[in-house]
Amino acid sequence: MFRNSLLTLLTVIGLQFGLILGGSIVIESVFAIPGMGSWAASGVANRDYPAVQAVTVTIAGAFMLVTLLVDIAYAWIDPRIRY
Amino acid sequence: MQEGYWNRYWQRRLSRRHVIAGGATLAAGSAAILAGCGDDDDDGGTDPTSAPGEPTKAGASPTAAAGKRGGTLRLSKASPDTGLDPYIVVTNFIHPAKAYSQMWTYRPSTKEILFDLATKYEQIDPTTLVITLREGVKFQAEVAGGRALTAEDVAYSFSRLPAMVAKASQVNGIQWSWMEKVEAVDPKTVRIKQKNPFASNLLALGSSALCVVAKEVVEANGGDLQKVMNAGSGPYKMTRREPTGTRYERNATYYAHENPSPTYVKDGPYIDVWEESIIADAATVKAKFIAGEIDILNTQQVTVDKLVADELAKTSGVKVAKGPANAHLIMQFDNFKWTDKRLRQAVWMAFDRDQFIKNIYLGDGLYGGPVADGFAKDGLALSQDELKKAQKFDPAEAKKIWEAAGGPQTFPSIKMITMQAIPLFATSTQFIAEALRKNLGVDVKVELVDPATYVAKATGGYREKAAKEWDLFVAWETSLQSMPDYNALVHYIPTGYGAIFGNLRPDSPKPETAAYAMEMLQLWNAQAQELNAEARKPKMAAMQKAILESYGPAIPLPVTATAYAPYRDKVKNFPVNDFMFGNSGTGYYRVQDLFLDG
Amino acid sequence: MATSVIDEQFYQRPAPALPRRWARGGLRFVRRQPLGTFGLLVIVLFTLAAVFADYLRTSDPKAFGDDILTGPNWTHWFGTNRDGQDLWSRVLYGARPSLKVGLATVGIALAGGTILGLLAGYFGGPIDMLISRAADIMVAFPALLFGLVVAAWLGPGLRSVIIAISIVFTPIIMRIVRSGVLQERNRAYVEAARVVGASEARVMLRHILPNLLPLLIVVASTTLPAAILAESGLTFLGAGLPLGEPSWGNDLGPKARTYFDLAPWLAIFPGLALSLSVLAFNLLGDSLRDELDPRLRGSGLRE
Repeated sequence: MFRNSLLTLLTVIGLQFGLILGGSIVIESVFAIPGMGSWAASGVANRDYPAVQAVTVTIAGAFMLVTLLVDIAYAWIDPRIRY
Repeated sequence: MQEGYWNRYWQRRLSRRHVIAGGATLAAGSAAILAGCGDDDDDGGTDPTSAPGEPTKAGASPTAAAGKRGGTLRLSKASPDTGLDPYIVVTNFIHPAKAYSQMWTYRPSTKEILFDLATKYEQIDPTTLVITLREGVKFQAEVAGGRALTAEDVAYSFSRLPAMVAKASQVNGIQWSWMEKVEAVDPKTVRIKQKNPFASNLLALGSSALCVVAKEVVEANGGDLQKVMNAGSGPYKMTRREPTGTRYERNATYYAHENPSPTYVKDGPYIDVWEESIIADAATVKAKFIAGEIDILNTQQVTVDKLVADELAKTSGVKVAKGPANAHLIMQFDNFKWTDKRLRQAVWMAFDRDQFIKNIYLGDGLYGGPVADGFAKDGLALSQDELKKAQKFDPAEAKKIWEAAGGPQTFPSIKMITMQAIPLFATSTQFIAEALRKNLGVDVKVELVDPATYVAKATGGYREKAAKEWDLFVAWETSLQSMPDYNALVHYIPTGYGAIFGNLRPDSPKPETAAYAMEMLQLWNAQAQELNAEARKPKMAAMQKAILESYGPAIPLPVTATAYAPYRDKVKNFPVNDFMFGNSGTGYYRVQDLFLDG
Repeated sequence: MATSVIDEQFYQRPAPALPRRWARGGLRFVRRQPLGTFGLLVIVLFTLAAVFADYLRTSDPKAFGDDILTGPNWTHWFGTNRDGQDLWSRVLYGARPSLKVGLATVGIALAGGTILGLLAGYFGGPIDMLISRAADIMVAFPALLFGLVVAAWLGPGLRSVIIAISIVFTPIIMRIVRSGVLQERNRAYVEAARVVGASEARVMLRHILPNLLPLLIVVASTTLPAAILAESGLTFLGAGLPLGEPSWGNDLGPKARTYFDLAPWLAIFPGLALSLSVLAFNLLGDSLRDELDPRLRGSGLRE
């Protein structure tokens, strides 16, 4: 039962992860956290394009990695799933 | 997108070089920049010659009690520097103050000259100045092998100035163009031959832009110190320069000042490390300051008005110094377009300066003039009464003049640009835009840009003699009280921002503008070359009146009456009487008696 | 059985008069979805506020006033900000850019996403491959970050906000539409239409698309709040609407934030308006989904 519900949970985790990465831009600006998100925001303000590019690519990469992990986890949880 | 990117990148580099760095600083910078001067200017009020006459005063003022060694002072800044060459980037105050030394600095609150590399100067005649250098001054250990700094180095450094003009803002020219020739008489004596008498020559020499650099380092780097962290003899070495911030560490071989002054204490500097973080967001800076993660609040970034000052003063561990304000706020016309005096007059009369003061300064403001109010007591600036009379708010008359002069045809819409990095700019721009919409019935478009674009658009077109992309533009300057005819006034003359921002130039394709530029230049020169303090006053007044009567090549906007400087109380010896002189000699990053305790 | 499907789907049944059908559907919705009804009410209120802001305001939202940072009182119901502007009026006008951006982006993204989704789902093969992979790449970029980049490129303003958010939502909608098309593609009515000789375009637009309508309505109502949030986020970060323009994001932005500790109402009212409108759209979207397309329940569509 738990195993089966895990599948949905995983999907949501994967999706939320991307959202949270995006949300970090605002959150880090509000709470003055010196993270990637606030770096990207200040990069835009200062026309620091390399910074914005770096953050964009890193976040996109992280998102893809998580998606991949979620897919692998599917197969692990439910051996019937094949890609 | 690629094209846009490189375009902007290029613009940014270009503009920043010309002007100041970050947008924020633009305005402020402008003043500062110009001056670069922060340090030097004298209050203008006093007769320049006589003021220098009392250099000895420095020795007279009591030296602060010995401070405590060590600690890290943490500061913030809105955007990274645009380069490190003190002759090119004059808006980066901390770098020349830390990594380089100059002849002296000027302390506006007491009108003292505080000797650094020099120990004495002598004005032999109105066009000859002789400076004696201090014994035992050495470059930093890693710079030119730590060799002694001699008069040759001074002569070499000053001779760089004209060569740097292509890379820097021409506004700097005011600081050095009076020098005809700089020569080393002997290793410890420098003689400056002047082109003309210049009332503010001593003040100009105190500018951080006129610091001494090592020839070897300059030459090894292709004649440009923009990327060179250390090339001088200053109290600190720059050890880190990243987009996230900079770090300066104490120079262990810094020379001792045997006749110490409040700025150059004998065993100073006390603080080991200065760290400057780049934080774009003002609210973040404020939060960090309150949390104790920043020691001195950058008031160019965070607008500290009375409300915020009161709030901060109640915060534990925070002190708020108060002083007469030093900023000058200005609205620049693109003089290519505003050739008709009546159009300028209509704008001049179309906004309510009392309301401006009420809204923006919470009632604690003054009418602005082409010379900062601080000089009024010296008789060099017009009084508030005179300024008020010349800046009456009359919307009905303004609209009539606007329409009679063909305003609606010339300006179907007025374009302004502003940026968020300096909240005061954005708010003033909004205020004026609203007033012009309402009172002149003109469409006003306000474009919000980032600091780099702001600088680029402010200066853009200058070299090409092209009209600006905007019609009106708000800028400011700090450190005005130091040199009466520099920081603020340069917005009204062709040798300064008047030309760069405002297209007010003798070579203007518009004959009216060219004539206007010549007139302004003559008025400025007349006062600048007048060495007699009494005789200078009417000349200063004549210049200011001419600006007010012709509805200026730029409009002075009201200024705040009080400046606030919040700092953590662990910062001792904070220059409470001089902090408002932004880049001036005793701005906090210049003084070496600052120390940390607790 | 096959015939009956064709009967129902391919040949149009005589439908009850539209108003009656709508009224009946509406009543059923109100009865079965109280939360959705609440959401709808709030949305109607916000829309009215945006449309009639000129009449509901107590002062000019952009004019500088004399009362600076005063708390809520009888003259200024929501208090005033540092520029002396009345927050009640600003919150009213702030609904405009939010709704504008929401509607514009959802319109553009819906159009783009539907066309791409139809193409990908209907034709499959290399076209599907191309469109789907491109969408996968786009989805990897967080909306806000993408918006920041677009704003840096085009310059801040309503236009870049709309462009940025539309680009972000198009692939998301495209994926949903594509899965809808995949389900419909093999239905008997589609086969039948093909057999009768309808062109590909006709099959897609006249036969499949109408059957996706419930799905599209649900997608629109769930995308709208995300677009509103993205607009506020971008404006908040200084990459959205011009400074001083009434907008909830602006009123919560850097300038106001410097004064939040002095004047909490600066945060409360625009923040409340933003949260409430997003909540309302979400509630409505959920209810519409339950009513129109129960298959999508729990599909995480809102994201």
